Amino acid sequence: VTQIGEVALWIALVLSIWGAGAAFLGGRSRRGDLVLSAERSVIGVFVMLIVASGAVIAAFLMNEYRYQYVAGYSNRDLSVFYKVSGLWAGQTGSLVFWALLLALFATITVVQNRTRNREFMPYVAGTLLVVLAFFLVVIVSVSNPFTQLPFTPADGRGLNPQLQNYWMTIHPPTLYLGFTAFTVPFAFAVSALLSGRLDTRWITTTRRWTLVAWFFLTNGIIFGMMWAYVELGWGGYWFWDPVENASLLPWLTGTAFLHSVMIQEKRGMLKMWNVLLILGTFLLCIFATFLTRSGLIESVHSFAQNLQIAWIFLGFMSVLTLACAYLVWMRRDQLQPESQVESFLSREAMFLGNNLLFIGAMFAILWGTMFPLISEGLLGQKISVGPPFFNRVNIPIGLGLLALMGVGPVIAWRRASPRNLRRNFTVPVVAGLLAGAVLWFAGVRHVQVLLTFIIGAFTMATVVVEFQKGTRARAAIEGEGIARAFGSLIQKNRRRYGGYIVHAGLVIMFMGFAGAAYDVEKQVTLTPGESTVITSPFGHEYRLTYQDMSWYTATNMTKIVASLRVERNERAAGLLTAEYRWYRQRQETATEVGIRRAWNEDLYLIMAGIDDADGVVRGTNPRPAATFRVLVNPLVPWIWAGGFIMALGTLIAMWPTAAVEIVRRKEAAPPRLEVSPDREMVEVGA
Amino acid sequence: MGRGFRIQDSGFRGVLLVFLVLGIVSLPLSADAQSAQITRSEDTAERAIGKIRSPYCPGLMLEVCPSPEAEALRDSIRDLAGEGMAEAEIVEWMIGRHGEEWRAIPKRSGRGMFAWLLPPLFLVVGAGLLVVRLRRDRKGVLERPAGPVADEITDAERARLDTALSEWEIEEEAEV
Repeated sequence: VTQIGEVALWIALVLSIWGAGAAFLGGRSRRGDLVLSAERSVIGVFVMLIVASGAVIAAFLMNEYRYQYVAGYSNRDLSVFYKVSGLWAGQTGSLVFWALLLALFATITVVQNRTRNREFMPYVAGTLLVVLAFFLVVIVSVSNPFTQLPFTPADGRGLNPQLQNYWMTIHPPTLYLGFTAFTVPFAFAVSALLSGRLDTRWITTTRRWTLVAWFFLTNGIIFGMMWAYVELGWGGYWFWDPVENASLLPWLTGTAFLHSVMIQEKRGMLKMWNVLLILGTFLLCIFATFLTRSGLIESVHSFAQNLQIAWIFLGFMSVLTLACAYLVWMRRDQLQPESQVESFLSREAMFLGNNLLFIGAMFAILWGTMFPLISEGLLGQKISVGPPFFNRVNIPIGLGLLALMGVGPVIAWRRASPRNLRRNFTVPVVAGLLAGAVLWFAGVRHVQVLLTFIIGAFTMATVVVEFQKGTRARAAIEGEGIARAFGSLIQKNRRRYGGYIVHAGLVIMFMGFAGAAYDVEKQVTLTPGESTVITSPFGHEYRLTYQDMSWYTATNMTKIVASLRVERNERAAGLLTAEYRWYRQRQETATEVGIRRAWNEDLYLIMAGIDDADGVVRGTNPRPAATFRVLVNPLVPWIWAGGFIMALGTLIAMWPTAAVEIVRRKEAAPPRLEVSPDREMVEVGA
Repeated sequence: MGRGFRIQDSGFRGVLLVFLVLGIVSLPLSADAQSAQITRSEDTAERAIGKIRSPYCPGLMLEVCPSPEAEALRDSIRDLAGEGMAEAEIVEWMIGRHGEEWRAIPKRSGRGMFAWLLPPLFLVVGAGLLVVRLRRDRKGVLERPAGPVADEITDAERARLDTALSEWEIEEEAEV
């Protein structure tokens, strides 16, 4: 089976190179047979990559340790769940998985556009196949999952303990789905540049793709935060780690793109800007992969490094950048705006401001991430840039974005009159001020927290008022009940109201971030029966009593588990456990935190040390003293709730409407011939 | 106008819920603001620890590094603060022992200044370019006769417009 996998990779490579050539040649010479062949190549590459990925998973399940990749990331004791996720556990498999997802999206694009967008499709298929060919060249030449060891070890090295977590099984695939889905709008942008069709068609065509990519990237980042929170064991969820930053960069430009395309759709402006944004977003996805794989900058993600691959990615990124810059330069005359911004007080101007802040944040994060390298290379001294730098630079930008999130969607297009401003912003401004007053009188003096809640309340109020106005108006006109009017309001304009829901989720998330200003932490060494008390920023007390310690052997590890009884204001509030794990195969230790979740805070327990771990396992000292770090993290559950609301809003915004479905059903007639008898390409459906 | 006010009033009712939640969350936070009784030296130590990266955990700050060596280093810093050393002195002591690369916040002078300078410069230049561009565009627009102001419609008209626009968007998507 595994040999078939390797053959499949080679066939996929040949097909992708052939398909890319055929697509570009077919597009240029308008030969339908070549374009058709290219599109079939896309499907062929996808099938071959399914076979190759299946073979990698099979090698994991069958414990084929003659393969270097399997031996490096699995062992006999590893559960089936983690063996399957071995496909993306290491760099080699990740690249295969990347290519598989890209091939999946490429195939969907080709199938979706059998009878549509024919003028774009040769170059779209060509661009997608070029990217696929690049990944396949890297896979078969320097990162082949089927590379064999000179001997067959009896067992594998096992999976990194930090990766043996359920969030880690879904975080990378979700992130990769986001990265790879951005390739589709990128391919359409390249196609628009090559074909000269630079009106809004490529944007409306890729609108949903952009949302799909954004949805996965957003969730991938949030899942990564959840993983860090439960697995890294330091009580935080975001650490401005280079690899975390790398995933945020395309998210920022992608979000800017989602907003700025609206201006092009409505006003015919920002054509060049939109092209640059989506090209930049894709290039940043490649950059993220480069940074993750290179290990050039110290990171908590140091389990995936290969300098050789990093340089190949850098080379590919450079070539793509030059090619994109050339294309944009060639089409600069066609990328001129059709209209102008008429006023600073207009939706267009606010969206431009929002784009400036998104790109400003992207630049600040990129600069901070690369600064240690830049300073070492250019200034001769390695200067580190840690989380405090990123917080100081990005919090003001984030607050600005939060404010524009409230202003942008409700201010008038073209030019807002004083009446428009009064009408739309009186309630939100009062709401913001009231929030500030409530917090001030409650004793909150932390400036950033105050600002976050004031601006957050303002933005939330704009969302609430928009929903309220729309629902009432609809109820009055259509004679519907409030609940029905609310539902049909969203249903009739999913993009708009889905967007508002995303904004509401983001406001809640920002408030959750602000809660970090009131984190409480305590480190204490306890013997069984001893207690410690920690006061929550909400005023109540938690008493934790160290009750017992036990140990047992799981499939591939030995666990020592400490149990602590929790009381909240002297009332029993359950049991909290924290673990110390010894992974036998990898000879590595890890901790597993205990979290007691409430709607407004987490009580977070880490076992920082055991006085006599050997004594526990041998039975000579079954209940030794242990050191615990106890944290109360206020409003962290709001971050996850905000993320969930954002995901819901995005799903609403990108869900196909009923009308589209009806038209699609009508279109589901047998496809017409796409190649004419004289082998000229026919623009079917144009 | 009267109708507009009615809607705004109910808008107020709508956002009251938001405040209720805010109030519930914020009121007890004051307890923390008043109950935080950290001594000055402990405070100094914690602030210094918050400015140093851990030499023992790749990519992590000293304040969160779980290694025993990091714990020992944190204890040393607390001792130094207890002896009366200032925050900046502690950071320099640590950098002197372990090297410049463990400083988490670049200095605002010398080579570190470049780290701080560029992000705001980027924003200022970007904002400047944007303002120049908008002014130029606006000048061109002002020379043309003014168009209708976008918001001179009632809520009912706006709802009809929204419905029509959404239907148009649906058709547009279907065409695509």
